[in-house]
Amino acid sequence: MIDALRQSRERFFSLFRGAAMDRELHAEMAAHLQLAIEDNLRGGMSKEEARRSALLRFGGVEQSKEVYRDHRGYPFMETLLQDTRFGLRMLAKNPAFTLIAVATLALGIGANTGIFSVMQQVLLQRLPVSHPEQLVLLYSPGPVQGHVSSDEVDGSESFSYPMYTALRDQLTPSGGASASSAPGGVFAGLAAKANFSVSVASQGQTELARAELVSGNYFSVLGVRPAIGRTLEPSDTATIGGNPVVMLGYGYWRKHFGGDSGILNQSLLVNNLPMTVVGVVQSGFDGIQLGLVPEVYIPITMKHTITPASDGMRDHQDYWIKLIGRLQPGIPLATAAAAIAPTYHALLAEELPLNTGMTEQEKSQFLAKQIVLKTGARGRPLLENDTKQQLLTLMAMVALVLLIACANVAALQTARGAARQKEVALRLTLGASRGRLVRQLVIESCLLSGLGALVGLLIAGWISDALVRFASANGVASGLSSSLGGTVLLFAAGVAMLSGVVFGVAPAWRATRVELVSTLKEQSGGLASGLSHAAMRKGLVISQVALTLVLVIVAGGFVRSLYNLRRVDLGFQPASVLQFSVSPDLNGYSKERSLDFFRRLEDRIAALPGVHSISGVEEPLIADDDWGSNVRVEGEPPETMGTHHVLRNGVGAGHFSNLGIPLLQGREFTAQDGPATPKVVIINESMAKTFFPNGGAVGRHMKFGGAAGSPLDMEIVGVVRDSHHSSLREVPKEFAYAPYSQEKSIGHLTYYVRTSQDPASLANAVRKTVADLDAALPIYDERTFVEQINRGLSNERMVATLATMFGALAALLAAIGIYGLLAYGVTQRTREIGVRLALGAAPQTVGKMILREVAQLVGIGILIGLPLAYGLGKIVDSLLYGVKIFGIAGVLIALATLAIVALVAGYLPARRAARIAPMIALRYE
Amino acid sequence: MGDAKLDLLQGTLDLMVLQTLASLGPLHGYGIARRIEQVSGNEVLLNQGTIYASLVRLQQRGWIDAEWGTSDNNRKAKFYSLTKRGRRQLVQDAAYWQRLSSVMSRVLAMPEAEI
Repeated sequence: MIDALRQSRERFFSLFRGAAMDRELHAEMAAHLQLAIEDNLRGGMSKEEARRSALLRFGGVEQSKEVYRDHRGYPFMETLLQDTRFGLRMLAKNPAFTLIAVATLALGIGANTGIFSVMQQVLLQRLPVSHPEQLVLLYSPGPVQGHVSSDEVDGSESFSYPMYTALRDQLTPSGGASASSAPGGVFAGLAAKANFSVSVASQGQTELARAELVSGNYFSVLGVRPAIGRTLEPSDTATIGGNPVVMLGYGYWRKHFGGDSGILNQSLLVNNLPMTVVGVVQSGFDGIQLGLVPEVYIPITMKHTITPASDGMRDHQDYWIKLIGRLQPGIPLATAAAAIAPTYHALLAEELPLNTGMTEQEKSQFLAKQIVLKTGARGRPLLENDTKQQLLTLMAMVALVLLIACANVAALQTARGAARQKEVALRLTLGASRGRLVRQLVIESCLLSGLGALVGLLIAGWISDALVRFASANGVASGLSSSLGGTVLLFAAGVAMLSGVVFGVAPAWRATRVELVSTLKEQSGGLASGLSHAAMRKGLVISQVALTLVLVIVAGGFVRSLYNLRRVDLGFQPASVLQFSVSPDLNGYSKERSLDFFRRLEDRIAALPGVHSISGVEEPLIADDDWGSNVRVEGEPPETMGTHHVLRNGVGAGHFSNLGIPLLQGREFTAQDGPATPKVVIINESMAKTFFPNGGAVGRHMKFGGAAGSPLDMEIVGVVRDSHHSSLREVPKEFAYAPYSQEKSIGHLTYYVRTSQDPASLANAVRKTVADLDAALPIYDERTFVEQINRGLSNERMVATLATMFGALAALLAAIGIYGLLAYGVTQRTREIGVRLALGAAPQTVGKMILREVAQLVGIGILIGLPLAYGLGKIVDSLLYGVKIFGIAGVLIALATLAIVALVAGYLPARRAARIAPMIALRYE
Repeated sequence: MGDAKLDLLQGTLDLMVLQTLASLGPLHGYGIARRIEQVSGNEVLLNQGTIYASLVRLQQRGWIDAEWGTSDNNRKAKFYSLTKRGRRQLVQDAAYWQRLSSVMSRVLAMPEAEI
């Protein structure tokens, strides 16, 4: 055993000592022969006989050396190294070819790697915690009564605090324990979190920050350490309101406090409450939700400082918490879910009596609710639902671009193969096996793609950088890194190897299928081999055309979708409007003080030069924010009362005329509608149609929520046209607007200021006005309304831009491919063309002949590409807005594009063909 | 004559080389080959050159050592000698061959069946 290991080691090292060992062997064998000759001489043979006999007894010298080498090292490795060195030499001899091939491959591999780098972070990367596969997210789909705040579509991820503590106490070994495995209990630990914006004041500066309210065991459940100081602990959340401590996020600490450890035990004003900094989270942990990097972590028991109006800690019907748990090691998801069910059911049964507003059916659905577990290894899913599919589509597109690039390089290889026929024939004749030659050629191809990958890493870096900057600038996702990590490099290497084989094998196979005799005799014009090479290149061009068609059609689809989205009628006029938000409640303002502040702010801003009108809303528009409620409306049958859900918002006086939303009936809110006056409400067209199909909505009554039988105390005073509320793609739904001054609590507003001048120029004046009223109040999210709408389009913009770039790149590569093939063809057929011209053909005819060839190739390519595009289109259609990938317009535009590309590519060769001077051509060999 | 035959020959050749070195002491490649030819009464048709593949294998396994020295008639040659491990391996392999050959003899001595 040891001997065998020693032998392997020696064999491995001999790979490096090859030359020296060969010299030694040669000396040894020479000595051997000398000794043998001398013995023979002594035995009486003549000099020649002695020599001959010695050589005969020795056997073949070269063969002996071969056998020796086979046993000394690893022949396979040695030939591989040999082939690599040879390949490098051949590539260096043909710098033009190598450069073009490497550049083409760099574009293809680089683009793939760049997109993969982003995709891997968004879709694949696991949380940087220990054993992320044990983490699970909890969901509970089904009806609820009360107040739900949620990021995801159906709100099933939100729980109430009492439910959380009950689950935690009953399902973990010792309620709130750390992630150490203890016997019993489904979870090793169950933690809770919720996200809010807070104002943070330090050193006189007040700013908005992203806060994450967490349970005391949050960091130990995840397995996250502090960079300095300590993490929050269960003792921090033992009593409600007890512990005013915070932790800082690592990036936030570096950016705002310069990474100074002195921040420990200092006090920060969070929403005007002094809180002590006890630690900073470890570097590398950016929260458990991609795109949402918390800047401060606050114990969940301090919630009243964040939302003074609603305590939420004891309310069973306030659903605002997200749960993440760590399962006991070794428990599969299904088993855990089954184990949780009885406990959860019992808790639901306890809560049932609180749901006074539910129908019988809803009550039984409530009792039947289950806790659904989903893997938390990658954290919470990205907020943007479409992003995943968009990224996958981009990856598919860029893979196709790489295929087209490979086809180009394969064509180049084929041409080179044709040029190297003599060399190949010679080597085959001398005894090289075909497999060995093919292997060597494929190694050359892999060297090309390896070099291409190295250069491609640069391109990948640029693409990744651009994507990440775009994403964070448009609020899509922050905290993405643009550096290329180990996984990405591995991906690049893998793609390079694969491409090398893909574009190398076929040309290598073709190159080694050589007519030995005729090639060595330099008989050119051999039809058989010539045609075969050309046939292969034609096949490559056809496949390029087909793939390019697919890419151009898909890109066209995205562009048209974006165009449609931009032209969506939002129902209001966003141009010339500046938006900004203020949150006095974060600075401790009461409702009355806030209302007073808002009134004075609006008056002052309305008085600024150039300002036409101003209005404020509670939930900002076109910001993916939805707020809804069940309503009870006059005239509804009692069974359905309270079951209808509508969207809602709190708005200020003159809001609809400010935004340009037409008032259809009744009146707008005025400054008179306030906290002391009768409650009023304005509904939109859709809601009016639903509840009052025969008209007469104005003057009737309704109420948000409320127990059955309580008076409907809101009077409908107006009906407005439907308009978009949270996104561009939404379908307008029933909507009810109430004056924000009549809401139960109000502490933050987003304002829309209509100006007659450029809205951006108003920003400074607005900021100064707010600062004049309260210097400690930060203003945030200030941008033009149009900019805000564009942000909503940022994903679509990015995808359309990239898709167009890929389509253009594909078209360029295909054009190069077509040009290359035709130019080569013209060169090959110079004699034939000369004969035609000499026999009286007009030059245009020759040119047209070439163009006909182009048309043929492109035609076949299109025939193949159309069904492919159709199939792919079906998959991608769901991403588009108002168009289908395979729509008539899109296909026609793509066909036209391809036709132009083909014409341009074929023009030069056709012209050259027409210009051939017959006399010279006829003498051309 | 394919690879298979060569391998078999390599295995037995290795053993012959070890034995030769054990009985004759340090010797160069030519000497080992000549000795094997002589002892086997020229029944082994050996291409002397193949001994070098055997020698490099034995070296890699640590059963023989090599050193450049001078022969009787003042020629520079590479001399090989048995190591302790090689001596142990020789004893093992020789025992194995003895057992194998005695078993084979017994099996091949079985009378032929009457048809």
